[in-house]
Amino acid sequence: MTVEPAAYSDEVLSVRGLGTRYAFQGASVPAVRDFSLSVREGEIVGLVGESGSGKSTVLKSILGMLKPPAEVTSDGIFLDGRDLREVSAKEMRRIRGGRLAMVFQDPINSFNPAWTIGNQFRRVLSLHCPHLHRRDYDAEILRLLNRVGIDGRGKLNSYPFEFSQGQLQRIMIAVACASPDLRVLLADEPTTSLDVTIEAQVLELLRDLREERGLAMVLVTHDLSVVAEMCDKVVVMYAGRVVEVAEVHDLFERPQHPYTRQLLKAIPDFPHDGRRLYAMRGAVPRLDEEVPGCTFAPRCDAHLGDVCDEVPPVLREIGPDGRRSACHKANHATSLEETDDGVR
Amino acid sequence: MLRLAVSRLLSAVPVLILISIVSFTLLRLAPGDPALLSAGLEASPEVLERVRQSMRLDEPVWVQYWAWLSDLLRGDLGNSYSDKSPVTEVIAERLPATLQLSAAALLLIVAVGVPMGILSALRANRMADQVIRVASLAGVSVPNFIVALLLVLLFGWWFPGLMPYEGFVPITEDFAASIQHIVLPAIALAAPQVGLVARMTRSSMLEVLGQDYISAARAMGVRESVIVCRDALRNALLPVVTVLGVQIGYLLGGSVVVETVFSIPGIGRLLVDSFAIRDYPVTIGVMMFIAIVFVLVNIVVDVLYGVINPRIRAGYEAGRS
Repeated sequence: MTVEPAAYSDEVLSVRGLGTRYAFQGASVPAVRDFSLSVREGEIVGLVGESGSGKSTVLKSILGMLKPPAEVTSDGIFLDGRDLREVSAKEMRRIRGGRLAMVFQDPINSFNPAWTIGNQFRRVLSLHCPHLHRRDYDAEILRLLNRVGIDGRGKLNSYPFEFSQGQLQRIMIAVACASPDLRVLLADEPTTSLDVTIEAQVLELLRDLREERGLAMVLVTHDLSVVAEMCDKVVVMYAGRVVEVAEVHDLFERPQHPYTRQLLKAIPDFPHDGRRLYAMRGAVPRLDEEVPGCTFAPRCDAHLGDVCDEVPPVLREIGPDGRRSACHKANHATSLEETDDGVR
Repeated sequence: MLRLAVSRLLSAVPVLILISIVSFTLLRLAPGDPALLSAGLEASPEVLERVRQSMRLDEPVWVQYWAWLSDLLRGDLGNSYSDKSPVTEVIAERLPATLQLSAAALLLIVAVGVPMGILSALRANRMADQVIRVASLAGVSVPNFIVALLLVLLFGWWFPGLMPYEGFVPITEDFAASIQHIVLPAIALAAPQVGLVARMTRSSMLEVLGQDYISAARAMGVRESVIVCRDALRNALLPVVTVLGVQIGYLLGGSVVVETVFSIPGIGRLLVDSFAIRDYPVTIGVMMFIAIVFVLVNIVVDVLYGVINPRIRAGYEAGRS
């Protein structure tokens, strides 16, 4: 890691006890349960898990973008110590895109197809850069685009479909970073729709922005290589719950939760030895399915017996640096390391 | 853009010729003899034959068609059998009433259908949405002659005197009276289309509101009302505009029934009346007029679509180079 997380100790974003429920076929089903997160200045926290584990829902809940019938409850969402639950709707709009911005997964669909890039950019400036005079907008846009490696001269009147996916993702990052007050960037699988070389460039760009502006980031991804490359800290989610929290090195070297282990095991080796690839059996439980014990128990390779099927495990501290895991086995973390040697 | 318009116009020519052949043939196949109607029932066979000759009805249909078509290309639609005046004049005389009726109906469709659809989408699956959906379904399902008859029954029989339910006053003559007279026919003409437009707007709006760029705008702190009015509406209205264009054609067709029920002297009634007395030149003239308007409106909509949608515009421009 290029940046020592300890160098930035201030907590910028803190989420406590977040719960989100969606309306599904007339019933209210939990999509995220008891989610907590803490991000410090300049820190990149990865949020990983399979599709449907609630990662994107977490980001949308933090930004306050979910509307009824979706319900969001929490014990507090703090941005620079300020509880966003107590902020007025008007103030919240200033925070969205101002201090807390989001980058989306699919760049071409994240721009309005009927507007030019310049117009979409200008609107954001008018919302979040009140100090800026209207005639200086274009110069500022060019400067911001330049920062993400795009020469915007003569392109402001172009429409989104006239750019490539990679360019659009850069432009979206530039738009998200337009506010000088930006503190936290929420990135929802920012590289999923890009090819590998472009992905590397975009990740590089995000890292540069973190360093230049001390931005904190929450990076949602299901790609563990992105996590290894980018993150300082990782939160692993499964079926709407946090199952493991760890420093990135710790996670890869000593994964504690069986889900994390099985995820890591599912990465193919290269060169491959020709044996059958490991695939996790089963699928993520449906949201409306009430599981009495551990939600991962049916797919778990380290199943302990009745306790896993009947008692929901609690996310508890298992080591220094906020190391946490929600597994009945984690109680015997040391013995676990002795019995199973590593992941692969 | 110009190239597009020209190519569409050219491709409309065969369509119109086909329509003219079909209508011309069908008209001649219909029972009834204009010569008989013109000469009177007591006319002797010799007189009848002479009248038929003077009307050129004794020639084969394709010769008649060819004569008619070559006149048409010179801008001459022939003369009415009944009062000998040129068909173009007859149509021009009846046109203002139909135009006024169609314009009023179109206004109603846009002013009622679009907001209803938007409201319905914004309140999706809530009370207001359910009511609007049922109402628009009812509107779509009930043919406009039923609506017209119900309105006449309501204002002509049960509550007479509230609203004028027949006749027409040109807008240039007496503005207030003109508006009053046009309201009921316009409602009757617009009702099915209002429902259709409301449903189109609702589904299109819901689709657009679910798009990522709407979430993205929300995530950048854009006000909800701005998102609806500026971000969503423009994209959502694209398919609605297309439907509206096609509806202008249907309005002309629908006015045949509505004008008859409300006794409005428009081209719809002209069509019915002229057919009743087998005044072939007028009937075919009105049919062609409606066909031409229908085709032209569709071309205009096609071209306009490109103006609203930058992607399609780019497609045209790429095609030109």
